[in-house]
Amino acid sequence: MAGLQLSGIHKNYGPVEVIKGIDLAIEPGEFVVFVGPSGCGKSTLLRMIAGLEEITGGTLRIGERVCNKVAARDRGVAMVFQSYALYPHMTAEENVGFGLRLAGVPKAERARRVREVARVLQMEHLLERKPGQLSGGQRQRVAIGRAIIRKPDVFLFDEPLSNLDAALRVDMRMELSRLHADLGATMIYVTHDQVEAMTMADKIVVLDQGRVQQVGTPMELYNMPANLFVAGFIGAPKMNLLRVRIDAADRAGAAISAPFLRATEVRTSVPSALVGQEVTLGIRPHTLELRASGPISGSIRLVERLGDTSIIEVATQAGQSVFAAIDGDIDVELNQVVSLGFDPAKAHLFGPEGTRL
Amino acid sequence: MNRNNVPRWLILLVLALLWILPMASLILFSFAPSSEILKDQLVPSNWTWSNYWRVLTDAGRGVSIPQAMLNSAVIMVAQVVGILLLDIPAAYAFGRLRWPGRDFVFFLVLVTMMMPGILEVISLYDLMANWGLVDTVYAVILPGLPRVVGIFILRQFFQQLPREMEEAARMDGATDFQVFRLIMVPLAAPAIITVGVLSALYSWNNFLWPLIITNSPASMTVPVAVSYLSADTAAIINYTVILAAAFFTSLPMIILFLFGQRWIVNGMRPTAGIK
Repeated sequence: MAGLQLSGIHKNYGPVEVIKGIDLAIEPGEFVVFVGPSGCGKSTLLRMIAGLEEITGGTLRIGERVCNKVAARDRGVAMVFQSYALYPHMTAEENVGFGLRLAGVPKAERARRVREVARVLQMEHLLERKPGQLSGGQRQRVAIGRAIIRKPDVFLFDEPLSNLDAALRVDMRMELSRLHADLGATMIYVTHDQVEAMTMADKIVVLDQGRVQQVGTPMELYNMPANLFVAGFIGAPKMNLLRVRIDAADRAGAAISAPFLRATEVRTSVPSALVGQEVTLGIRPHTLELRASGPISGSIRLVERLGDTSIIEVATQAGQSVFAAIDGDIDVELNQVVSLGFDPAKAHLFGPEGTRL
Repeated sequence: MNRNNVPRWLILLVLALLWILPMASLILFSFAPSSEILKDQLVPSNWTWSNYWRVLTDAGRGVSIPQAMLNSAVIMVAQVVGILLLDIPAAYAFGRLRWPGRDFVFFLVLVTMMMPGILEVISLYDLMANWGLVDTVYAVILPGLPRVVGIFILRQFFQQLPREMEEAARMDGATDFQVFRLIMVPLAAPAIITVGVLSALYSWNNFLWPLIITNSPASMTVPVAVSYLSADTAAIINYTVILAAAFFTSLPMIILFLFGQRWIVNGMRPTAGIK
């Protein structure tokens, strides 16, 4: 079990800079998730930690050791690939034991450890099969087995669930969390799925355009997004991001208004310099509730019934769409005129630069 | 059978007959006395095993067909092993490793494939003569190594193998050579078998170079020995013995092709065997 320290990490492909200076500390035993949209650099960052991509600039420490120039096999890390990358000519047993075979572990000891890992992952009955004879979920187990058998300091997962169907993904998500709890190892997990990030991580690193946007626990990111990108990326359904005007402000809060919003107050400290300017109001759909007379009114344009919750899209007269997640038992209909309100303490304001106020 | 397919099947049938008739004629008359071959008939009226007996004992002109087959077999095995030992690492280096000038060197290698082999004959003969290898099996084996077409086929295959497979092996602790030996070569097995089978066919059927570089009947390969039988100007040529020799010496390659054709088709398909 080892921690990691990334200091000023850069990656260039020719003139194109894809990782633009990343500073990050990962504690031993943490489950850290790198999350972000396609092309944000999360997989590149993971591959740099693995030793599969050269580091253009900055320092990578695994434990106490600087690893910039250390070969992948000597870093004490194991990786589970998106495509699993199992060796098709070897059985599951040979796949799992391949690392030990290379390390010169005697055959009997190797077989014992493979059985042990197979027992933990409940795949003893699969050991004689080749990858072509395994389902997606079974291959995933073999790939994880191959990673854990070497008892590495750090586990790396590169979108390992993206090839599985939705139900299996949920099962494997829970299994990975259980595995982390059992092994207590440092794990770094890359995904573009914010639900995976929220459900599994001790710490989430949100990346966009090669930069860290925010680092924090899932609830910190959900409750206190640092900027508009994180606000829009974390949480499902997405946060409503609405342009409003600051009418008055002091330390206790601010009065805001907009064509679609009756003048209201939020409990966010806003610099007086912003009075009269436009900022972005962020309200999570789950924060909005149906009220007899709320500050936002409009007609229902869309209803998505999820069972315990219904997502409704409310179109205001000013043309602004607002999404709300309401109790699934409440009966609503298309074109019904409703009024929405929210707790002022749970509203977020983002300044003209997009950063949290 | 779909009625629309009838014309297509007819055309294929005619083409198949055109191809198979000379072969069938060769096989049928190899079992006939020599007098039968000059008669105007499609199928011999008399049958005999004597041609095959002569092929095995005394084919004529001092030629021993069993000896020629042994020579060809030794040359074929040596060439297939040599070609694979040289072609596989070369193809891997061209297909998966990055080094300065790689594509230019590969282009030069390909250029040698475009040149007619006849252009090299004089300089090769001169080289073999300088090394004292004329009329030996070594002189037949060496110029056939390596085979550029084998490098080409294997390179295409290596290029198509998933990069993640190689990276996974590196993460598992493999050195560059272990990645090559334990992962990449086994994954390329279909293509390697293809190149092996094609090389065996090429080696067994190679005519021109063994004809030039071998002189004595004892060092002749199969195609040279069979052609030597038909080039006797001093005696009446026994054609049915030649037909028996031709068919008998083709049998190993026919069997090899029957077993190897699945691999030849699969091996040409990149990522065959990878799921």
